[in-house]
Amino acid sequence: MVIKKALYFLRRDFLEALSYRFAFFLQLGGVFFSILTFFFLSRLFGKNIPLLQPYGGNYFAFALIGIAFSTYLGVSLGSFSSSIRREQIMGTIESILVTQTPIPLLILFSSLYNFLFSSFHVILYILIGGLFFNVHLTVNFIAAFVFLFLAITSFASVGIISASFIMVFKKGDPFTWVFSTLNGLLGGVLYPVKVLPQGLQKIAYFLPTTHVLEGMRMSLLKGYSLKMLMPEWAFLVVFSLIMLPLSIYLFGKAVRKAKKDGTLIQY
Amino acid sequence: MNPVVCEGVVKDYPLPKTFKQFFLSPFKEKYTRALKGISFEVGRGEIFVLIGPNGAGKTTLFKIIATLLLPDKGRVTVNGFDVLREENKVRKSIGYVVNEERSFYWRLSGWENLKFFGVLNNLSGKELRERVNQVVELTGLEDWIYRPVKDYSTGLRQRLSLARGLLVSPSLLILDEPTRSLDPIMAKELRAFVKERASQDGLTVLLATHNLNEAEEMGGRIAIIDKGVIKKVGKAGEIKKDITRDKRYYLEFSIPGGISSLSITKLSIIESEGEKYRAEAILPEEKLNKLLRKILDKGGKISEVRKKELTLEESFSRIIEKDKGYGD
Ligand SMILES: Nc1ncnc2c1ncn2[C@@H]1O[C@H](COP(=O)(O)OP(=O)(O)OP(=O)(O)O)[C@@H](O)[C@H]1O
Ligand SMILES: [Mg+2]
Repeated sequence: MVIKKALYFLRRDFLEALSYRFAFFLQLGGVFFSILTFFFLSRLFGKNIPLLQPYGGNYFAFALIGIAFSTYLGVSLGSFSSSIRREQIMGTIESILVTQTPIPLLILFSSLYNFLFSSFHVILYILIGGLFFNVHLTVNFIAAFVFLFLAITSFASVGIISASFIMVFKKGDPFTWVFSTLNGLLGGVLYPVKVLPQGLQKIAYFLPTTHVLEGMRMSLLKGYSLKMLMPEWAFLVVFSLIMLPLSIYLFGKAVRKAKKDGTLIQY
Repeated sequence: MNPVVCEGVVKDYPLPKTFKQFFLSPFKEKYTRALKGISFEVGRGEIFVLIGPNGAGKTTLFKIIATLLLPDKGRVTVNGFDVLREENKVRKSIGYVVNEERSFYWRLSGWENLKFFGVLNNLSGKELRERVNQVVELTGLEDWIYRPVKDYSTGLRQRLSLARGLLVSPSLLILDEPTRSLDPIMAKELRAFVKERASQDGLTVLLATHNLNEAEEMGGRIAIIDKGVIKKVGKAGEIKKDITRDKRYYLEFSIPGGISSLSITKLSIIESEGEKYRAEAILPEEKLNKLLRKILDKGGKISEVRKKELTLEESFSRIIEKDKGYGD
């Protein structure tokens, strides 16, 4: 039944997305053009950049994965709050909350489509890079999938906390803003963490993006195994184990507060 | 145990703070009290109608029963389950028909919508298909069900909302102004349908309406609610009889110097011709005698006095307006 519910959420969102056909294809076009931008940008740099040696030395391959996963971070952070807001604005939130489906499942499923769609984006980025732009991939599939999964659980927990803010305050929260700015700046998206000053590197260590990108790059570009990437996934596992239950707890609190104040359908 | 029990339900909505209040007293919350201690019970198979003016608190009360809003005080149980502590169990037994048009995914068809909400209510496979087909047939939506909800008229959306409420075969059906945008024929059919389900299957029904005829037609108890207080509960006949201390009188009289010398406000003049008047008054019998004596004392002449039945609508406004000092 739980899986069936998940599938019906996907079906709902897919049908809705299809009804906006144009936007659907525009998004796909966007992927291609952002890849092209970084392809040209990478021509500025040589083939063997010292700081990029651990990743194979090629800036394009480095940036491709950084970009692919930072859009992923953006989607994960924004997806929960935007789907909650959408239900509030459309006026459907009460009708799903009176159903016999527990709130944690409702919140998780309502973002499922966005996650699948952006995972598809990520794969598309890497495929296009590999097929048309000559990025050399040496993939360890198991490690890559584990990091993809851990990326979802870590980013999602922050996204759910953001959705809790939206539920109560009806506007974006500073927390998410700080989190995504820090991750973009320090997480190693467009340049390796090593180029940062010592102090900032320490902060970077506590950001999930740093570890997601490190794990992803090593498993996709160098074929590193899980055993070799242990420090990276260990951090993400701990982060998820703490943050995911916390975020779902906070979201439950937020719904209760909204039910108390009668602000469930306000936006 | 009765399917619906409300004991002293109080609901406060926080008022938005003004800028000044926010700085002067950031932690002091201000409230409006939407429900001021509502108590009633509804038995199995009973149809309980809430009637009251805008802002009386009908929707607020229904949302509390449907677990969408938390009460501040009091206790509410549905089939013995507490709405605060056992909300999942409460949700299993209710079908909530909202009067909110936007409560569907407009770009999806009615059919997709019903299936989606059916699955969220743990229906699946053959059962889901059968239930969806059943409720579509019941609500007469066959011709529309594969079209996107955005193409529906308001009345069609209201029918779809009813269809969704019936999907789970609830034991308690909550209808918030279910006939507001239905044409008279559809509205009548809906009332007949609800009454039949109540008497045959023991479906318990809570219904909010502004329509007194509808309230009377449902045949069950009616609660008159105003400003968060239940003013009166009873069958339509009892509510009418209860106010029979107040009767409607038709008067024809003449008075020298005109009506202004009487200083009586409760008289509504239908027609006047010089010092002759045709008027109506709604009052208890003793007050009528006083009024007649006053007219005679001023040297007036009474040519006719006739008693008339109060309609439910008049009884209703008498009850609601007592607060405004209209009563005597
Ligand atoms: N979410 C809310 N926040 C603040 N106040 C609210 C909220 N919802 C309702 N109210 C107030 O509570 C009171 C009761 O409203 P409610 O909607 O329950 O009335 P109602 O009887 O359903 O009215 P109507 O016949 O117009 O539907 C009103 O004074 C209304 O302004
Ligand atoms: Mg209402």
